[in-house]
Amino acid sequence: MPDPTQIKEHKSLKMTGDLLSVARTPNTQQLWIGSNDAKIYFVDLAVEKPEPTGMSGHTSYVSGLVLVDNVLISCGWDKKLIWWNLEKREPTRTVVAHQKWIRQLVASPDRQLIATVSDDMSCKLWDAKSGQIVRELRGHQPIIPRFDYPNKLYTCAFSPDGKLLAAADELCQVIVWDVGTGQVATRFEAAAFYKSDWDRNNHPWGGVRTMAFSPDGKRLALGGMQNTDVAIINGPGFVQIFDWAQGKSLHEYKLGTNLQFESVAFHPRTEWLLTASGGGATRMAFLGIESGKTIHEFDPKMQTFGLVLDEAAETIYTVGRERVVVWRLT
Amino acid sequence: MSSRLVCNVLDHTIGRREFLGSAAAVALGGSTLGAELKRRGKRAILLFLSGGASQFETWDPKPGRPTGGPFQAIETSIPGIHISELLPLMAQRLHKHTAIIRSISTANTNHDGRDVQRLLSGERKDTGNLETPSLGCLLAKELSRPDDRLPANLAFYSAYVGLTANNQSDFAGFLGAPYQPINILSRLSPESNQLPASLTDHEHSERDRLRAALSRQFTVGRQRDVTLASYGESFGQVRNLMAQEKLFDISDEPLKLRERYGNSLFAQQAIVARRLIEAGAPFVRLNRGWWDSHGENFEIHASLVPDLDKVMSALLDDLQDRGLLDDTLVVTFAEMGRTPAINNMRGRDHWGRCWSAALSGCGIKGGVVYGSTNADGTDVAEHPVSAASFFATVFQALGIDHQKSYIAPDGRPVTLTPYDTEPVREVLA
Repeated sequence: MPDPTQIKEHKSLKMTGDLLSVARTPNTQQLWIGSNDAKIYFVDLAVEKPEPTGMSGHTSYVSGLVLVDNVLISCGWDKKLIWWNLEKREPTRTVVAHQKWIRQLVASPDRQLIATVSDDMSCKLWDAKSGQIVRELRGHQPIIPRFDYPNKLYTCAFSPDGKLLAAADELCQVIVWDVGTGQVATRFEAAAFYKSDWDRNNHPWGGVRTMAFSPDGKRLALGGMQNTDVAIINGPGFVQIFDWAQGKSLHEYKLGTNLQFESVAFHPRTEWLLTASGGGATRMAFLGIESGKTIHEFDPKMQTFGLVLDEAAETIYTVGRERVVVWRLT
Repeated sequence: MSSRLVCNVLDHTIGRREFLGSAAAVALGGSTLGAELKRRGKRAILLFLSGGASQFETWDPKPGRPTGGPFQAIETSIPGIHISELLPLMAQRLHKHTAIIRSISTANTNHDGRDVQRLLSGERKDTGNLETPSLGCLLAKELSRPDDRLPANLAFYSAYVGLTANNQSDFAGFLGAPYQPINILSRLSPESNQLPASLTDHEHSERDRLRAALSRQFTVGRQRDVTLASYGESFGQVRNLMAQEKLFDISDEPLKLRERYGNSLFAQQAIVARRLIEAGAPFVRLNRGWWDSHGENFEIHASLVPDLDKVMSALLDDLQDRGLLDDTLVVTFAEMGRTPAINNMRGRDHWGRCWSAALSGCGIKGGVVYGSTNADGTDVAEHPVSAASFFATVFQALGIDHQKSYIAPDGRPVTLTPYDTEPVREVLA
């Protein structure tokens, strides 16, 4: 089995701007990358000198990408969902999907549904092919209590069987819905990610920024940070694994001193949990799921905003500030 | 003293003492009477965006540019003018009462210390080591009248960063203690505006009379001591403030109105500010903090700008509905703006070279956008406005001659703004 402590940078590509989201064409080294310049870039990392080519359609940061068959679907801070014909590199459908910024887009394991989360505090399920809305899921508070500021709905994830969808917000409320009925299966609070700073700065800080179900569907990994000063990123990166059905924390991982984890991904056979920081110090780490200990952490020399694993979890593709990196586990 | 707590605009007629004083000044060749008539009943509210709000996420968006960030620009009620999508309520009202200056250019890039003191007193270079009073105290002095029943300078803080951790408080200097702000932190009312449980009102009143009598004796032969006079006046304000306790209680405000402002601390303090202004307070500062966004600039502005939008629009509407806005200037300012560059914490850092401020209400030509920055917001493109020029504009909007002279303790005349300062006449009504 590849050893995560032996991870090596295999290849990297210099680009410009913040590369915020990534999707990979299965069984290839072809990536689709969403950027803060509002474009989506295609790059084939199998060629000797990859040349990114861009597609225009969004008018703000491209925050999420998924591939469904040969159709790319993107979302952005412009509140839009766009379906793309990849041969013509053209939008085929554009939907103003939310009233506020779309933070994340995920596809169900069977690729029949996609889900979006937005700062309008709704989670929406869409038919991935027709673009029709299937269900709107609400339950997160629109307002941060006491402060009266808008809440933010940062992240969502499908369970491996596609029957559940979880979402988490700035207040660190986690809601798990039954996809079939739209009913709330459970909700719990991951309070360690949230800091209420009433007196000093008069605004709170925190939120669960990324999440993923374990391959057996029983655990939910949440990522973010434990900040100590709302003006800056100043605290350890923080990952917590929950038994979501019980709302019980199983393991906590604190790494570094001024960083925020914004990506998490489980190994397909639950060998490890990979996390990477997007804000502050640059850090990636493999975390032991059963042991609760850090297996290996290192500096990838890049703020990482998105990552995908290949089918064997032996190659990791990361995108971030001005770079795309291919990592190999040997 | 009148038992009525709230007075209306008509109450603010010129008193006999002022009139005589002004008339005497005219007789001496000055134009004080005209100025006095012009500024009669004028008031000011300073919305100080403490920590430095980003111009990109408020009044001067640059969507689609590398420096622009994720937020879109939206149309406003002024054709062709766009502001951040985080300010939809102000966007609808921009033509009415508000002028935006997009080309403020200042030296300060700090939150506290000497640089902020210099900024708050207009970044003047003509006064050497003399510490000149800050804008808030000058406004308090200029807009107050001898028969005012409320303190001249009240300042509300929503966060202690800005007051104790980074001191951005106004300072009266040689104007004296009556114009020094009464700072109210994280509350709606001064902490000590209620009688101690051990005292009756009569006992407190008697003590005040005794203090005043002793003070009069002590000041015999010391009349030129500004500090001493200031202390005496400050103590005298205490009972005035206690008598106006009801002004700090917003529970009797209609629910609908409170909902328009919102429920944030800033919103509630803004309602108190309006009540104070309505009751004749000359100057109120709302120090809304903390905007310092070195990390996660967009998250912080996604929280704070909608609150600013709600509070500022509700305040302007409320003042307008009560017939107060024509005589009340609302100044939206900060100690600096934020950098065009977005750092590795998705933050924006300190920036003085080009940023934005807004002026609304009294003396302002609504719907004007003055000055501009270049495509990426890295520099002023047209009409740079210094702190001194901005302050001169504030004074002129309120009918105050920005070249008016004070005599500093060392005997030298000090004008409100440096002698060669010009206000931005394009934004003046």
